[in-house]
Amino acid sequence: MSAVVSNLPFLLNGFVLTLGYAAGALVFSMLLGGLLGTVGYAVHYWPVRWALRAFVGLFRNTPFIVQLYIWFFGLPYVGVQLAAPVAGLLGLGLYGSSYVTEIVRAGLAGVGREQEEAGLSLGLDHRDVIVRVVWPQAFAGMVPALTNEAVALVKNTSMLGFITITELTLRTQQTISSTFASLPLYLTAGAMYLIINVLLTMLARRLEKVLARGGRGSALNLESRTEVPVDA
Amino acid sequence: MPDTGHGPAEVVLDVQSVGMTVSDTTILSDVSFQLERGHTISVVGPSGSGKSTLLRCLNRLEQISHGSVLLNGVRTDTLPAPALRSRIGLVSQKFALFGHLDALANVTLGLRRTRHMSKHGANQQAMQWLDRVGLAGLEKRRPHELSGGQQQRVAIARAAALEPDVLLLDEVTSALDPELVEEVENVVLGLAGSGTSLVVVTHEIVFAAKVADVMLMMEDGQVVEVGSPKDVLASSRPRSQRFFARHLRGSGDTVSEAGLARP
Ligand SMILES: Nc1ncnc2c1ncn2[C@@H]1O[C@H](COP(=O)(O)OP(=O)(O)OP(=O)(O)O)[C@@H](O)[C@H]1O
Ligand SMILES: [Mg+2]
Repeated sequence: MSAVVSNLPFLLNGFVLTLGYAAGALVFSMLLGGLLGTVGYAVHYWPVRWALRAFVGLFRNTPFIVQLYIWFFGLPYVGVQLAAPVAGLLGLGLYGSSYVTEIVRAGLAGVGREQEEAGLSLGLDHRDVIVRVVWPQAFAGMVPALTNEAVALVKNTSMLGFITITELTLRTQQTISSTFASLPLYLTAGAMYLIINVLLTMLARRLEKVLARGGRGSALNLESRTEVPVDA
Repeated sequence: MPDTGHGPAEVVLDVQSVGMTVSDTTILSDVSFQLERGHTISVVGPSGSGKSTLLRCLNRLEQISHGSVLLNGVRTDTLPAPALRSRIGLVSQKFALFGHLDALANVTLGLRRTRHMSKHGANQQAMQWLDRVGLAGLEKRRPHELSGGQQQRVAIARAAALEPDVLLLDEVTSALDPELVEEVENVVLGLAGSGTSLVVVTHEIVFAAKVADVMLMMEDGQVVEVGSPKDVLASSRPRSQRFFARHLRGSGDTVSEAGLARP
């Protein structure tokens, strides 16, 4: 137990680093995945579809650790040396994006052709239909899957230690190798990951509830918050 | 009724031998008719005869393969699709209101985005239309908080608020419970009576006769009858007679009653 207490500051530094990588990669994944998923939904031009399918297929069907090794240890072979933080963020971000792309594409498609046509037949252009009709209705449905993705991403940060990033898991190993208090330290690290992911999941549940209630509370439902003119 | 009597009638929609073929299957062939401004054409015909496809072609949700469609004398294929669609509105059987928006916002979205109206102006115009379809006071309800008939009336208000040159209505009552049909039919009659140019597809023959200046019957993608409702209902063509008889029996009306329903 004293091994945990005396090394707590060291471990907490790792925890903060883990949080930072997770947050950075999460933003990266959501933005890139959101963009690519939208493109995948909206663009029917075959080279674009093909390229997106290749991206998703490649990154989803190979182990994350292999991808990470390629970015950090593989690229120097062709003369490109990425700094560890860059390789780490890129690795996590691209891996996450491939999942988010598919979640977003399927979520948008799930809104259905009827809604799309209702928008088009009013004279909205494709951009408006996607931004104002399809996305707001698709988002609530994507939240559970995106939450799983975020949780997976937090856990995947534990592999960044393999490319020299001193995140929580690596620091835990280092502490164990000097104190031999393996179980208490692993349990401590596990608890820290658990705390982030439980919080993340709770936050997502709240968001889901707010979105399901829709209407007044929904951040996405800007149009319906209009004031009704009394004189009309 | 909507005819003002001033000079020759103006053709707002001119459909010239329109054909539509999907992978060697002909869905529409040689469909022609003209809609005068302020008039209503009703379209009837058996299931699968191409009525919905025709409306979707006019609104350019489907591409026509032959012929041309002129709106106020201008070929619609020369206009960008969004501009055209905001001039030729379409309300379908499945009203497809935007589920994340309340009734008011469903109506204002088109006004804001295609007519570029201010928020205030769009709200006012939308409120007027919701009032016209009998929904004043329900503007803050979201689609799932409205009955089918109310939803369909919002859908009609949503399309009509843009004040399109032509409004296409595709079986706007067929997904409704029987007791809700009338409230929606009354809204359509109101539109027809106030000078909106309408093309109304419906299975309700009595209503088709009552609402329209010209009635058109389709079969297998072709127009087989066109004329005043009275003349079309009195057609001597056997297949038409059988169709009308079958569709009027259920409603308890007779051909002559339907024909006479219109002054
Ligand atoms: N995109 C399409 N591809 C292939 N066939 C189609 C397509 N759209 C419609 N059809 C076919 O065209 C025919 C006409 O369909 P349409 O929906 O226009 O008929 P309808 O008169 O509206 O029928 P209903 O009264 O049942 O609504 C049908 O046989 C239908 O199966
Ligand atoms: Mg139809």
